[in-house]
Amino acid sequence: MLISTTGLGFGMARMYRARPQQIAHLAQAIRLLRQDIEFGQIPLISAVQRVGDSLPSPVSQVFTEIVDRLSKRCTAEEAFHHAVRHVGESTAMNAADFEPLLAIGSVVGTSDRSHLSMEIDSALIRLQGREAEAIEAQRKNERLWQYLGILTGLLLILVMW
Amino acid sequence: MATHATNDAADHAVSLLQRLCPPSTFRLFEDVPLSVWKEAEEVRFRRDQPIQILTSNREYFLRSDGSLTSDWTTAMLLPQEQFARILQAVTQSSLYAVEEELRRGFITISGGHRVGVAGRAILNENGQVQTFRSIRSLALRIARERRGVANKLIPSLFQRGQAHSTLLLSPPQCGKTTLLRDLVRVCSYGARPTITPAKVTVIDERSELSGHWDDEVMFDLGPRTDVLAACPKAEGMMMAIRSLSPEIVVTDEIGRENDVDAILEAVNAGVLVFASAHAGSLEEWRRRPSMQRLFSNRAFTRYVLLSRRLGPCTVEAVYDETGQNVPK
Repeated sequence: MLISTTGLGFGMARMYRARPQQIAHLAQAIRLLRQDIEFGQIPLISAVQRVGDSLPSPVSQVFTEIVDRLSKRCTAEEAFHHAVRHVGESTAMNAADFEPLLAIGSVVGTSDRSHLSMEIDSALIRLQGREAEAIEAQRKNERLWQYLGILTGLLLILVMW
Repeated sequence: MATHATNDAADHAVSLLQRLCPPSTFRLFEDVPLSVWKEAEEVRFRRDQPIQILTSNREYFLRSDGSLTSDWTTAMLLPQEQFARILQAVTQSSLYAVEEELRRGFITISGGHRVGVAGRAILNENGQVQTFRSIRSLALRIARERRGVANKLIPSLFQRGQAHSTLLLSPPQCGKTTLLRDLVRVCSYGARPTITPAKVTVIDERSELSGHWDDEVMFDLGPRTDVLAACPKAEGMMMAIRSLSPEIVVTDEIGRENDVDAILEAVNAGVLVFASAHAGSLEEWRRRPSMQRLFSNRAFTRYVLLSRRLGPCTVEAVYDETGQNVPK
């Protein structure tokens, strides 16, 4: 019992620890995408593929999924939404953390470079905010969940004793 | 669709549309007869307007059941959502990556097909077109390789195995690019003793001559041909002369002052030039001041006037450097 509640607590703590890191990876991905869009003018499918290849999992999986959908002739907007819907749940990030990426997805296929640049800048600023919020949540909750897991286990043992 | 597979030209057009259109739009094309696809030169997609198919001598509109009509009022209107999907297929969901091309008003897609665009032009601070937003029209010009189309011109354009510097003249859609492409192939392969094989450099600003797209060259231009794809004509010609030592340089649709300078530079360097220009006659072409300079300097020793009287690539006349008729 102690082991399972401790595991549960540590699992929750791990999610709090991973979230800021994954948001940072997502921001890095968007910066890489910007490089390929603004300077390389590389077609979206190749640009997203390159981003996916240079990032760690699970964030890379979002981009791999986008490539998969684009190659199946989905529009960019559909591909981004599908990827977030299907891979998002396996990350520590929440729906709001993916919103900046989805905002890019909704315009990337139909916008010129200057418009896209503004959208990417705005997405990065929003992600910065999300990352700060995730770090604060980690600071508040990571230890709490670790202790809570152990203490809940101990409490249950005492009650049952 | 089974009958379509028996015909290359029709197959070519159908597979192109399959690549660009969402399934719901492509389904409409499935009942279009083979004879129409064989002759189809353009397919025009306009947002909230009927889909138009143009052959060399007719126009058709598509009905919602896939049948063709010449009465546009009974045709199906292309919904915005389907138009957006076609646009994304044309740009590979990367409008930002084709801005340079959009500035010239068209996008070249895989296969060397040209897609003209119309929408709201966005200008830069110098008043030049930077890109297009709110694109509402796409004019898909189906590029076709017609091997042997230049053969009929060989007696007038070659003398003792050597080519003449040649300018092809015609209004739009008379087959200048198709003929130029075949001339490149003829010179590059050669056929001794009639045609001495030559090193050819193609300055393919619109990537239409070579069909150069994403690291692939779609059309066979022969074993002695180098292609400078998506390269401005004048700059490309100078680069080619400096670095590729061509015997012939080839470029499409000349018209600007710096094109004229580059052609004169090439001719003075002993390089032959094959080019094309828009004009309804030699006189019409000569009336442009910069073109008159090419004529008076005898940059070209042959002028070929094309029309579509008997279909694309109909040769109406061949002139020499003085504007006199050369027997065809």
